[in-house]
Amino acid sequence: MLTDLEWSALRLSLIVATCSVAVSLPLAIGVAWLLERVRFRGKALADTIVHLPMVLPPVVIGYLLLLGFGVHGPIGAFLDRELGIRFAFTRAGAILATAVMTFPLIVRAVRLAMSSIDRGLEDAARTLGAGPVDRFVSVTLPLMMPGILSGAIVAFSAGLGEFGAVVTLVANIPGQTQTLPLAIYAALQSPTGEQVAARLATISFTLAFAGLFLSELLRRRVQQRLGR
Amino acid sequence: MLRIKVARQLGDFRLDVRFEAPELGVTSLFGASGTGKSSLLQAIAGLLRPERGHISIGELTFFDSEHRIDMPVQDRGIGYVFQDSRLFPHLSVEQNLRYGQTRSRGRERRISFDDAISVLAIDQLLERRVHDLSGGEKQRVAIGRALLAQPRLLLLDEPLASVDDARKDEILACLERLRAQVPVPMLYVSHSLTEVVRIADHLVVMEEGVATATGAFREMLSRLDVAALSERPDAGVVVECLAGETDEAMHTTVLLFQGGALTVSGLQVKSGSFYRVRIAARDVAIALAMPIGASFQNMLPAVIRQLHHRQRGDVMLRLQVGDEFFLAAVTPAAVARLGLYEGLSVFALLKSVALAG
Repeated sequence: MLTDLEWSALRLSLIVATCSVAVSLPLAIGVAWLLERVRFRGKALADTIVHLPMVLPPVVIGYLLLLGFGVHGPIGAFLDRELGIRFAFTRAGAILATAVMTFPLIVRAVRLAMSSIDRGLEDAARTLGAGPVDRFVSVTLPLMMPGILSGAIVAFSAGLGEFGAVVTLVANIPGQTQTLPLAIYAALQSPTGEQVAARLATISFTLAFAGLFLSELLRRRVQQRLGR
Repeated sequence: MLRIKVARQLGDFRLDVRFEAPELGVTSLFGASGTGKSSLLQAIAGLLRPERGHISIGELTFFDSEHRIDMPVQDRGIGYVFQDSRLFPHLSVEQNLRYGQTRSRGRERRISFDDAISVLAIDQLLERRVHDLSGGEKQRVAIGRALLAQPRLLLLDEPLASVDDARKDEILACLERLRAQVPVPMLYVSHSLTEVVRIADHLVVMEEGVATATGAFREMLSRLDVAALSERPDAGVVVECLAGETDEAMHTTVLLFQGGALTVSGLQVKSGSFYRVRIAARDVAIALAMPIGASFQNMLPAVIRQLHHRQRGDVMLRLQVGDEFFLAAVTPAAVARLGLYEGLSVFALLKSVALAG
């Protein structure tokens, strides 16, 4: 039913979305912790920077990433030289762009979950002998699970459809960097691509819908288990 | 010895407490709501940092502002039973109970898992989820969790506050068993005299952020200078008694105390066991001579040791009966009519005697 190129676009989208969530989740939990629990100067500024991808045009994010992570960008050149990782026109670039774009979504979800935790439970853990790391792993993290899960799933669903930042950083190379939305866009550019576009759009819609729905179901189940 | 000195400003409220209490047994922090009892517990546990002070048990110092000692909460080994139990909702009852136990390495083991669940009668709950427990069950599990962390000191912050009356008795019975079986010093915060009467060995009275009186529990109850106790409508003493023989035909039992005996009827007591008996001041009447043909079961020779006019208008008498002290509340008119004075020998007529537990 799908052509090879369409399959590869779907597969690539899934890989990019999965990897981007895997990369940004631990970082997002750390950042959420900083913003929610730690007092430091310039917190408002940090908060703003984290949320920038939500309001900046995705093309601008892509452009900034290109400046920093392109072959001649300071970070890109360094990583290329030391580790052989390239971001321009590669799958890694697509993952990076998607991770940056979906980062604030995860941070927001995790932060919300963190703020709803009863701090009294952490105090109880302290009186029972749990140090900071132990406490985080054994109490805070499990209690945040609903938020982390729903944040991850929403980010995954959004990551499947990331367009502007991806196309700017890694262009639209079929089989290489062409994810679902890029394939849809390419199909619409061709005079005979209407049907292809419709098929891919349907897949896109289904995945996004299923993701959100799953996230909601999971959230409900976990919350029920936690007895809230 | 438990040494507590804590000074800390909390908004408009100033906490400035100092007292010492023996390590063994239950020390009750007694006072109305809002007198800083919970804040004091938080400071002892390390959850609230005093501006100045000293907190130690025996040789072990947890906090000392002069010597810049401030042991982290997790290293103190001070168990805490919170008013709202604070069980971990993502863990089962058993996992909750084991949480502190697995983190208690290096401390003297005072109670085993099996003993804890049997004393607290929670052996049937182990598989349950916290969410499904009743308020009383939650509190018993919380006590078990704190105990199994093998604490050097156990803090209990009104553990019965969120429990219905029927369940309170169960938990108090558990605490009594604990006091008898496990040598953990306990600090028990309460505003209820009926709870305190059952389990306290030592009493610290708190008023507006300050410890106003401290001493052995039973002696404190018979003092007339501790307004928080003597001005209460239910003021009275607790006498430690050894149950003697029961007269089957009359359903009466003799309870022996230092220098005297009480006869009680209708109480479930076991011969040879110790009981705490509560005698309220309003249940004690005074006669100058042994009444003839009176229905009182207990008419004991007594000496008036102290007379004290209470704010509520009546007169409180401190009576010596054998080696114990009783309180009696009488009207000023009675004092005048009978010509009562300190040193006078009288008879104490007890209308009622209740078991405190």
